[in-house]
This record gives sequence, C-alpha cells and structure tokens, in this order.
Amino acid sequence: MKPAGIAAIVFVGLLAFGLGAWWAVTSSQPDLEMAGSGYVLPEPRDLPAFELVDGQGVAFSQTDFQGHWSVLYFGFTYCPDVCPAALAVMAQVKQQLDGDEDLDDRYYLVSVDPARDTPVRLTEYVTYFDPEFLGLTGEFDQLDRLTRAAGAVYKVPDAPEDDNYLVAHSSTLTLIDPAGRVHAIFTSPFDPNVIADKLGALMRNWKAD
Amino acid sequence: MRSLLPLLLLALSAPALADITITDAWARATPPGARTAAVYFTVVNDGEAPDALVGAATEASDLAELHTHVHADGMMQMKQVPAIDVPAGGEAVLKPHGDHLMLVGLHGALAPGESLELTLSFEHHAQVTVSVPIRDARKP
Repeated sequence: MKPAGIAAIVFVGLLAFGLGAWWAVTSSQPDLEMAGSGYVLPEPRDLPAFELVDGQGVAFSQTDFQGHWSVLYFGFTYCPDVCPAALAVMAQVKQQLDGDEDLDDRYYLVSVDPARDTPVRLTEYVTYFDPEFLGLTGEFDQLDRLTRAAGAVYKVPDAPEDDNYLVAHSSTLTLIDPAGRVHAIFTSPFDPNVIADKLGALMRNWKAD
Repeated sequence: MRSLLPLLLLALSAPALADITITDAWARATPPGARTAAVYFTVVNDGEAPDALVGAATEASDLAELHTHVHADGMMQMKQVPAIDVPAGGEAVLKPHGDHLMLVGLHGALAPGESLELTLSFEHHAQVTVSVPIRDARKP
C-alpha cells in the first residue's frame, strides 16, 4: 500500500477515535452512564408487531408494553443455573424500586422454550421469584420478532431426543420504555444494586416524545 | 494388642490414593414444578496425584450430570462433560455460572433447609458421599 493510503487510513482512524471521544464526553450524562453494566440505545428502537401469550394464556402484542416500563429476561424454566440466578437479581431490582410509587415497572420472563413452558408452568415458575412477575411465550416466529428487537439470542435444539434438552440463550435484561420501544440493555454479570440505580434513573428522567 | 491400635487407626484414616474432600456443597432450592436443579461444591485434592470427577448420583433425581458453561455467539450454553479435572494439590470449583452438577428429572422440589445425599465418583479415588444442604438462593 502506498504511504498516502496508509496515512489516509490513519487519518480516518484518528478522526473516528476523535469523534468517539467527543461523543463519549458530550453524551456522558451521569444518569446514562452504564459503567460496564450495559448500554442505553442512542435512539430507542420500535418493536415489530408480534403475537405472544401471557402467563394466563391471553394474547399479548407489542402494544401491551405501552403505558408502563417493562424489564424482560429471556430464558426457560428448565434452566437450573443461569436463569434462577438472573430472576433472583431481577426480583432484587424490583424490590429496590418498589419504594418509588411513581414508577410503573413490570417484570417478565420471556420463555424461548414454548414446547415445555406452558403459560401455567411459566406463571408457577416466575411467581416463585416475585408474586408480581409475569410470563410471556409463544411460537418461535413470534418470539424471534421480539428477541431480535430486544437484542437477545437463543437456540433450541431442532429435534431433541427427549424432554431433557437444553436451550442456549443470551443472558440480558432488556428495558422497554412506556412508548413500547427498546430503551436499554443490561448485560451480565448482573449487579442488582447497579441495575436498580441505573434503571431508576432512566425511568425517572424519561420524557415522552 | 494395645500396641497395634495406633497403626490400625492410621490405616483407617489414610485414604487409598488421592486425598479428596468435598467442601462448600449446596443445592439451589427449586421453584414449584421444577424438573431440574443445580448443585455446587468444591473438590479439594490434597494428594500428589491428579484425579477427576467422573460421575454423580442422588436419589433426588433420575440423573446427575456434570455440566460446564460455554460462551459462544453471545449465548450461554450448558454442555454436559464426561469429567471435571481435579489437579494434584489443587481443587475444582463448581459454582453458579460455571461448572456445576445438573440434576435432571427431579423426583420432588428441593426445599430450603433440607438436604440431599450425593455420591460422587472419581477416576482414581473411592466414591465420596456427601450431604448437600439445600439453600434458598433468591436473596443475596
């Protein structure tokens, strides 16, 4: 490569670095700083249309996320290790925010294992962690619409030999704002105190467009 | 006869080969209707030869599988493994989000305050049976 080409790349690199630094400085308001616990989307992301079922077996669509805050964990109830730990964190976060009566915040386990996690089973499971926790699940094509928008990924075995199969999944908490848009994503390892602080700040400082 | 007693005690207390002890064992109490559970513990090997945990059994479930977590494509995937190495003079730690024992086909809920009996098999050392307390892990 000619020196001029290398110089151009270096220049572009420096420019990108400078822009990044400028963005970091100008956008680092204290309430949006996630300190390694996740990130706030620069522009909240609309949810696509989907049709799931809630823990009562009632249809649940993207518009049902509107009018309140929602925190979503994607997992499955046959998960013995990661999911119970994450739901315990989510319960601690909820308890810390329960004192603030101005916040309307709801918490969901979205099961990506609909074959085993029926609405009844889901409700039985989530309410063990908090009596107000909610369950959601549905057909894979509908789940995919939500997981893609929410930054979650999962993989269920195509043809499991028996009922003891395992599901691979990301372990994140997705925050959906009262306009029904993906607002922030918290990544593991989860610290309930940090998440409760950030969540509380995001919710209190939010203004509808 | 009396002079043999110390020797006899020594023979009884000295394990055959590797020196394996299990510490910090606990099982996660299960939500209602759960079919799976996780058990955690530390295998300490004070011997001079390496060993490996190769199996487990309990009457609390149909199966007790050794599992590890693999991080790939942004996902956490549990994978069954045939063995978990326990180095000489070292330890293997089974803990949340890491290697763990997965109980599959639970026969009943694991209730906090109760315990389950677990028999662990090793490549070299004789089987070890431990009583595993069940803990409610919902609170930090």
